[in-house]
Amino acid sequence: MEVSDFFEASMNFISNHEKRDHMLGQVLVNGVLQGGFYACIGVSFSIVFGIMRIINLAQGTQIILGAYVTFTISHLIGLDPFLTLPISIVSLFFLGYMIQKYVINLVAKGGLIITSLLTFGLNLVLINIALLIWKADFKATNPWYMGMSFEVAGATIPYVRLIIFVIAILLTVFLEFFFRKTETGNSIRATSLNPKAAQLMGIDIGKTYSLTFAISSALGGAMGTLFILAKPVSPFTGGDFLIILFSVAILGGLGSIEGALLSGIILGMIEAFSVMLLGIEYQKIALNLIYLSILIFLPKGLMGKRFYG
Amino acid sequence: MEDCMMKNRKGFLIISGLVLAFCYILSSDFVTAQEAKIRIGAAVSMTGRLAKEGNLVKKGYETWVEWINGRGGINVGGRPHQVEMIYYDDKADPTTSAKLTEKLITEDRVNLILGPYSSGIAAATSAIAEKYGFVTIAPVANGDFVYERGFKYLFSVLSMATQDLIPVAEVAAKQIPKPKTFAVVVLDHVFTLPSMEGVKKRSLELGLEEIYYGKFPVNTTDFSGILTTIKRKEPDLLYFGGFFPDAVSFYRQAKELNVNAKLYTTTGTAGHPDWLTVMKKDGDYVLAQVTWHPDMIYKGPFFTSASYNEFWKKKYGEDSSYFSACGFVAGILMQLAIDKAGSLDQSKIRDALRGMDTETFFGRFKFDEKGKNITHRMGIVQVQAGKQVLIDPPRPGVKLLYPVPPWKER
Repeated sequence: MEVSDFFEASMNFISNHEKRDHMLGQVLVNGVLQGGFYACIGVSFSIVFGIMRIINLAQGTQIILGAYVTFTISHLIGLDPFLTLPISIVSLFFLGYMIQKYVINLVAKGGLIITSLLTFGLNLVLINIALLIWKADFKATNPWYMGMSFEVAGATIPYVRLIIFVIAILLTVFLEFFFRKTETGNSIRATSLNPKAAQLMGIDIGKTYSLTFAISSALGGAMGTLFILAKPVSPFTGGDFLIILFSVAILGGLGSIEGALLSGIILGMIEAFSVMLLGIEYQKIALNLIYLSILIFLPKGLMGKRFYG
Repeated sequence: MEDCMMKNRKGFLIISGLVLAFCYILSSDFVTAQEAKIRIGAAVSMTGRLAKEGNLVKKGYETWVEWINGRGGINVGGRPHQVEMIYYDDKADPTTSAKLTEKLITEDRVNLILGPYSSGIAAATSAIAEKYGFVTIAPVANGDFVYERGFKYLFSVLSMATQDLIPVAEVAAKQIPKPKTFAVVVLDHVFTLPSMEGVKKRSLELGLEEIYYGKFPVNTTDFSGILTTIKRKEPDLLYFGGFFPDAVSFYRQAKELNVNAKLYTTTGTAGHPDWLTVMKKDGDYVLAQVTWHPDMIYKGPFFTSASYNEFWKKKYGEDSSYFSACGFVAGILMQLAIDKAGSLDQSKIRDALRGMDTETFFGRFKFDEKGKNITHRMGIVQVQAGKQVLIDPPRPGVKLLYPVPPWKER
């Protein structure tokens, strides 16, 4: 599209704004529902970075593994995909714990570059394991209520997306509560503020790190369950999440759960409104421009702190 | 002195005669004449992003090799030659595929090459084959750009991507009530853009009005924005161009947001075997192009469309996928060309393909100077009650389901 096209599109938008009034509600709904999901996957990525200074490049694939757990169980025993949520949470929790304890902990002192390289490699290993088990085909769930929706004030709200949104928000709020109000949560936060001091206070750093990674992984697993309810997955789908993971985490402020919640919704809204105002071609450009602006003008993000945690 | 020179000369002649004979024995011609074998190399995607389709093409190759060897092999200048295949896995990576193609030609010294799966990879391997003067028959690579590089040894089994969905516009324009408007939603990708450009152009020619055109980037998973806009515009025809996951997300969300049209299409996806299992009854009514279908009625030298499928079914207990049919027919084309060339000389095989005008179980083959098959026309299927039914070319007793009932009434 040329600049003149862009101008014309904007003028059209202004002159047609009455027609668009009833669209506005729908776009808001779309943005919020998508944003809830973004928020939660963003949180799962952000806590590992914020607390452990590790960029987990395998997080996208861990999400996909959660999706595969749901797919396998619901296909093998016919369980409703939503009911597999606890199973994918538990299995990914264990996987995350093992990965941190036996793989990442070995090089955790190596710094950001070494751990990033490691998680990059880990991502390839996980993708290939998924390829071996589930092959390269797309897998999807298709429960009977798929695609059903209801209308509120002219806006169509799909049931599945609404439930996904609610679960994502609940999990995020629960995690915030866990970090603030429980002893384990406090010890994780203490470790992130000052690992040495935390160790002197008797906190087992290795265990705390494993636990943090496991929680992030479990949250990712839960998101995988929700994701496969909306979209089909293949072992390579995980890579598609990375830009969202980074955007939500950076915009919200690394390690900040409430920040991720806010930025997830903001990003969902930006996506939805950029399609309406500028066209789908500009959706990702708008998203990336915001991401870039945040990095330049607000590097700590919306709710970032000098200390993480 | 003269006597001595004569002796030397005799000795020289004998020795050079022996050397020549030895060279001849060592030469590949003599060896192949003895063993009467043709080595064919293929680098296809057995793993990676395109593993599913790549393996189906490979299955087509394998089945052809088994079939042709069962018949005594390929006839080269009156002598039957058994076929021996060498496969490599290109992991769906163009660079790897190009390297493997070079290895096949220079190290494995194959006689012939059968092409990889997909336009992106064929673009890379054909450049290598061209460098060594090797013919590439690309079974499933119909991106127009692949054939616009002035290559002389590259041939496409299929018609070009811009032609892919033209029959959809033609079929739709004949329906009553006649559709008036269409919307295009397309993935910004070399595979999908040309097919959508083609169907868009044809639709405009047929008097349809374009009321929406949206191009979405790779990795888009949320289509609610586009669908909200489309819902307001109420197009009669909805042309969707994207890969498998894109199409699944798009149509699911169309159902969620209750976005209706009189007819829907996809680029290939609804013709894919996985579409039926993933979408179940929500996948009904959607159109797609297929390169080949068991219900086509082509006749060829060895098989008709139906007898080829029967042969396949007997062997594997299922219909041949169109990917496998593409692989199988690539083998048949190679065999017909060698038969006509009477030699394994690449330039003679190329000339034989250039001059070819023949019908096979797959359809007709006639190549232009760029190597495009100008006679192939895609089949169009519509998913009807969970089956991909061939609706174009038209057949008696088969009807397009039109207009498609709204989501809420299904």
